[in-house]
Amino acid sequence: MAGDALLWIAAALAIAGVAVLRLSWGRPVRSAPLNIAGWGALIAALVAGDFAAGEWGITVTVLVATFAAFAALAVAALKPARKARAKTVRTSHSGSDEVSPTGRSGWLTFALAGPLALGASLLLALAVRALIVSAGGAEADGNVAVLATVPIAWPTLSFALLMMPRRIAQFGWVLGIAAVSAPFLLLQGGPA
Amino acid sequence: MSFAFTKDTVRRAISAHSALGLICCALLYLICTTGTAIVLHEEWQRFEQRDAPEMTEIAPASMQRGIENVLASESDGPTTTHLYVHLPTEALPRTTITTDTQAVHVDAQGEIAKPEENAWAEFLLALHYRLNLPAVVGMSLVGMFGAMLVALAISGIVAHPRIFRDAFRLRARRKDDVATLDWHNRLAVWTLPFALAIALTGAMIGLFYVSGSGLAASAYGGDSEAALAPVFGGEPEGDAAPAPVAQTGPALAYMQREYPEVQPYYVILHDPGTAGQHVQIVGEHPRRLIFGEYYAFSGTGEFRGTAGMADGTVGQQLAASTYNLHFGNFGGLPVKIAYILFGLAMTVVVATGTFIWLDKRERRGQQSAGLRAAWWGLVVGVPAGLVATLIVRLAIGNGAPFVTVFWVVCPLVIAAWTLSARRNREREGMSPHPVPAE
Repeated sequence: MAGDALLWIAAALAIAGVAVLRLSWGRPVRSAPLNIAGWGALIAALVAGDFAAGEWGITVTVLVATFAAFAALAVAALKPARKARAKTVRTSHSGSDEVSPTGRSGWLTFALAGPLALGASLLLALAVRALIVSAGGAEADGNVAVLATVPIAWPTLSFALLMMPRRIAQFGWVLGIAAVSAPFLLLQGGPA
Repeated sequence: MSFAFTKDTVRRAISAHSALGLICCALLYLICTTGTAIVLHEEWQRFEQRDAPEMTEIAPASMQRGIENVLASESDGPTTTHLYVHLPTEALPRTTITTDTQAVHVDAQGEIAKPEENAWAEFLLALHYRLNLPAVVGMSLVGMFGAMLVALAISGIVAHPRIFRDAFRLRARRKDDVATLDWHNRLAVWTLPFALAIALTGAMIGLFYVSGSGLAASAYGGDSEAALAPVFGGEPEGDAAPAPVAQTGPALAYMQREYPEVQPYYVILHDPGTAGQHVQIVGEHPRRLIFGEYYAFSGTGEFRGTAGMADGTVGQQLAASTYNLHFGNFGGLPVKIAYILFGLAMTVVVATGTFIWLDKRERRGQQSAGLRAAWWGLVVGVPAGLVATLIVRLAIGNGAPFVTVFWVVCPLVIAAWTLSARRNREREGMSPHPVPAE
């Protein structure tokens, strides 16, 4: 079957892509050709997976690539630890890298990033539905858009709010999204 | 390769990541652990009831006999509104008939063999799906944690300026804070596509009571079923007048004739024994993420059409793909093994995330021994609670109080771990946690 062969090619490309990136990122100096080759193999793997079996093929290809990366990590984990010089240990999470507490109310931040952002995201999702349906889209697409938009919009907005240094900006974004989306409630109008 | 986030952005992202992680860590750990275990839902069911009759297929006539036997067994009670026949599949090679009031296995001849006993697998599913809480509260809560997992993934990417450069760096054998950090970052980076898929689909399922209710309230007068009808199809008008039980054989014969590549795995009788009864067959499409397609038939086996899960709108196909993508049942055992491995990795990511936070506290000179012991207690307590319920299942049987056992054992392990750590500290009179040179 042609699909089977393509799927095997996709899997092989996925493994090759991870292997090339492992080689590239293990070098002391960056190698643009190797990086391009690695990423290129991964993209080609996804394309082959898509041609082989659509979204199922893409998903399986991603699982194979992840599995290959885990194999590479297993090899790294088995390597003996080098006694590192204290100052050369690089981490992205060392304590001094965090912002110091600003004295803002944690409860208000929680309320903003939690329920208020969720409410604003729901309004945004309903606005997306109204736009889809009013543009002639299928009612099913509009309804699924609501279900799919909330899990994307809410965490994104929550994270963005937590990144904002000023309370006024946080309120501005939450209320702004809600205010822009709310009028679309009038356009829901029942089944399309 | 590195992203060009400013140092201030990275610092804020780390703070956001820490705050989100701290709020979510305990329940997120529970959800990841149970989610990993529930990948084997069908296999657990087989393990729980090893003496149930198994078969690779069942003849349509035998299935019909099974349906009629089950309905006859309920003739002295209220008539069931729905009857589901699970057909033998590779993962669960059993024929099981479920009504509003019971679930029984039937043998290859259609005779009722024994009641279905899979209470532990169902407990595990309920623990993952809704934390053993009422569905509205529990599913919404789990959905919210799924959404926060998305936020953790985004903040983790921004907080990690050397995300690609360090992608293969795992100093696991250092056995110190750096090893913990590497385990967390490396596993998180490589499970990112998997974690995003799991988190988004989980949040989509779990937040249905929020987003679906909002949709129903704004466009369907509060009727959630009406809101879902355009996606999954609606129920035709019923007619309660008595009628002979629908014949499922013609529907299955039609499927075999017209859709030979589709594998039927569920037969659903709506309002059986009434003039308005109708039959749905759920058929699996090979190499698709969709859970299947609904094939609708009249009570006499006349084909009425499909719902559009396989070839309908993008939204329909997306909605139909959510469950399989989340639970990993779209590619047999190899995909299940991958889901278990990556699910375990996500569980480790959640566990190590809190240990990293504790390490930071201690580097700042804040005593964290009690918190560390409590977190260790939870990390051990959740799987211990699950194992305890499984032992109880094997020892007592299907009617064992799984919810009580789990929610007693898990806190007990946390308490025991915390007390034990305190006693050890008092006995040794030493520093709670070695602080590495940095």
